[in-house]
Formats: sequence, structure tokens, C-alpha cells
Amino acid sequence: MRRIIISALKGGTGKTTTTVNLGKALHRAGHKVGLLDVDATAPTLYKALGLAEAPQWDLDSVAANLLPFKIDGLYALTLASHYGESPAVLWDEPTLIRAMRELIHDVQWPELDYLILDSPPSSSGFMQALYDAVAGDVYGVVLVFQPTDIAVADLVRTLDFIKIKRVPVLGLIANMAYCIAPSGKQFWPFISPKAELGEVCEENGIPLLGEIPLTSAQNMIDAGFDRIASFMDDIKPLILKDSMLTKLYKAIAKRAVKTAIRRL
Amino acid sequence: MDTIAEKVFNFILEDKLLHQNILRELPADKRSAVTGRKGRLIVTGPEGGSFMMRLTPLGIFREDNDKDIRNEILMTDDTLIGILVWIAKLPNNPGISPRAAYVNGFLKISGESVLYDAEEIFNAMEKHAFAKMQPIARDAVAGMKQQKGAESAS
Repeated sequence: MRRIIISALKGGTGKTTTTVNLGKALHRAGHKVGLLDVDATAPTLYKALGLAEAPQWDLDSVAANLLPFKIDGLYALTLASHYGESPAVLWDEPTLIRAMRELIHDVQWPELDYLILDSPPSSSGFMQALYDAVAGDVYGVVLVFQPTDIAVADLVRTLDFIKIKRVPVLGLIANMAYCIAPSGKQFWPFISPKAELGEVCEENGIPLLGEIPLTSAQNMIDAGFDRIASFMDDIKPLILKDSMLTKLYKAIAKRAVKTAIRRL
Repeated sequence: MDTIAEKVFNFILEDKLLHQNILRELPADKRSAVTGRKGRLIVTGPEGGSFMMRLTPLGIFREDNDKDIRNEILMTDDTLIGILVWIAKLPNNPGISPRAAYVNGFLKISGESVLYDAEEIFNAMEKHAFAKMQPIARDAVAGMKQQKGAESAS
């Protein structure tokens, strides 16, 4: 089973929508796919799957495991099934992390080709724990960003986070990359200046997996994700090289440890 | 006089026939997986108390030994009262559901598989206990109102 994390430290980039659309595309390509919503404070995967309510969890009381539900050929599990949609999740971080670890390790999935994890935004302790929990057992991270100046600033931070965590990267999806006029012409209607994510990818040595338009035409979105799914099996995950800044931090940390040891 | 938490706990222990029926409904392997489990309910505050219980083939019993406690449920007596108000279904006070209290951090469940165990506990309570607990919840709420009235009169 290949575990893929859909990630972006910035919120609102379309991680959940990407999780579902990529899952559907991989399923159409003949793969068995599971979707896991690990966004504990805003679990909305079921909404992106078109459900009004999250189905109640099934429990295997012998193995004390949670069982995913099945919808349109996909297996899925969300914390919204546990506590509903409306209550504000006010768990402290240790509780959130414990819950996340249980979701990662104690769900009884059927035989899957891909398990796609929809992660929350931020570089909080929770996210760090998520990356640590899957370290060594993750196929790679798919980054999802919009091509705007503001998003690029967050993308650079996300890349730095991934470099430090040394989790393999599969590539980047430029989501809501453009709009399509009735004439078929691509255009950019937003106030925020358009940024070229292709250039950012090139600078950082990561592949641009695809560009998905902002459109209500699901067939166009499907076509974009089908293209990505068609080469998913062949992507070679890569560990990003340390940035100059990370190298500097590591050198400082090493020196601090040496000094501390000398003082002992 | 018993605290509200003691009254609730005694009520949970009372209906052995119901416990046995619930156990009987389970498939044999699941029944043996849950039999013998121990838990502790801790309610802090003047209306609280600490109570241990064990599930046996004959029902839920009070337990004295805290060895191998699988789960602890911890809340204040205010939260317990809020839950009782929710169970009582009063017209002008919604109270707080146990799941909402849990997610909001007013009710904590400890254990190794906290999501699984919490789900199992809530499912059992929702399916078998809350409807039956309505009379005791209404009594408790009425008792509190009377007490408040007496305090404000004096």
C-alpha cells in the first residue's frame, strides 16, 4: 500500500478536493484506493465525497479497530463520523496527536494500492507528529497550491518543512490554476497577482504534476486528475536537498550539542 | 445523601437484565473481547465521585481493584449536569450532548485506543442508556432546581 500525504501549510488550497479527485482518478485507473481524513479540527472529506453527513463508524470490537466506509468504489474514514460536523474541536495537542496516530495505525483497511491522507494546514506540532508518524512508511507528499504570490510564499515554507522532515515528495499540483471563459479561453480573474508555480518547481527541483482549472465542469477536473493518475505509478519520489538555511541550522545545532557535551 | 454522580452510577449498575441482553446480542468473539473490561468514571466537584466498574457475563458490576483499568472517563459535575439536562430533553435548556462535551474538551476519555473506545462507549450509551436515563435525568434536574430555590429563599 502506497501512502500519499496531500499537504500544504496554507489553508484553502483545495487539499480535500484534491484528495477526493485524485482518489477517484486512481480508482478509475483500476487501483484500490482509501482516503483518510486526518484534519482533526475541520474534517470535511465526507462533504467533498458528496455526502450530507459522515457515515457512522463501524467498529471491529475484537481487534479494537476502526473500519472505513465505502462510497463509489472508494474506502474512506473521517473523524467527522466520530464527533459530527458542528462542535468545535478543542482537544489539546497531545489528544489530537494520539487520535491522529490511532487513525494512521489502527484502521482496518482492505488491501489497498493507495491510501491518500488529507492533512490539515499549518506546521503545528500536530503536523510535525503526522509526518513523524508516517516517516519511513510514506510513498510521498503531493503539494497543492494556487498560483498566487501569497501562496508561493507559503509554498516555499512548506518545502522547507518537508526538507527538514526528509519526507519524499512526488510533486506539486497547481490547483485553481486558471478559469475558463465560455469561449474556451483561459483567464485569471483574481485580485492576487498570478505566480508561475512551474518556475518555483524548477527552482526547487520538484515536478509540476498538473494544473487544475477552477471550473464547475467536473469533466475538465477529472481529465486533469486522470492525467496525473496515469503516471502516478511511475513517479520516483525524491528527498529534497537541504536548503542553505537548513544546512546552517543543522550546523548550529551540531555545534550547540558539541559545546553542551564539552561543558558536562 | 448520594451525589448526582452516585445516583447516575447506581442507575447504570441497576439493570442487569439489560446488560445481559446487550451482551447476548453481540457475536461470540466480540462478546468475549468485551467481557472482563474495566473502566472508571471520575466526576469532580461536590456532586461527583469516583467509581470503578467491570463488565461480566452477568452484567456491569462495581469494581474495587483498579488493576487493568482500560478506560477512564473524567468530567466535572457541571458537565455531568449539562449532560443530564441534554438527556432530560428540557424545552428551554438544550444542555450538552456527551459527544459535544467530549469534543469541546469538557469530558475526557483516557485509554490506549481512545477514538475506538470513545466511539464504543458513546454508541452503547446512545443505543441502550440515554432513553432509559430520562427519568433519573429529569429527577436530578428537578432536584437541583428545588435546591437552588431553597438556597435563594434562605
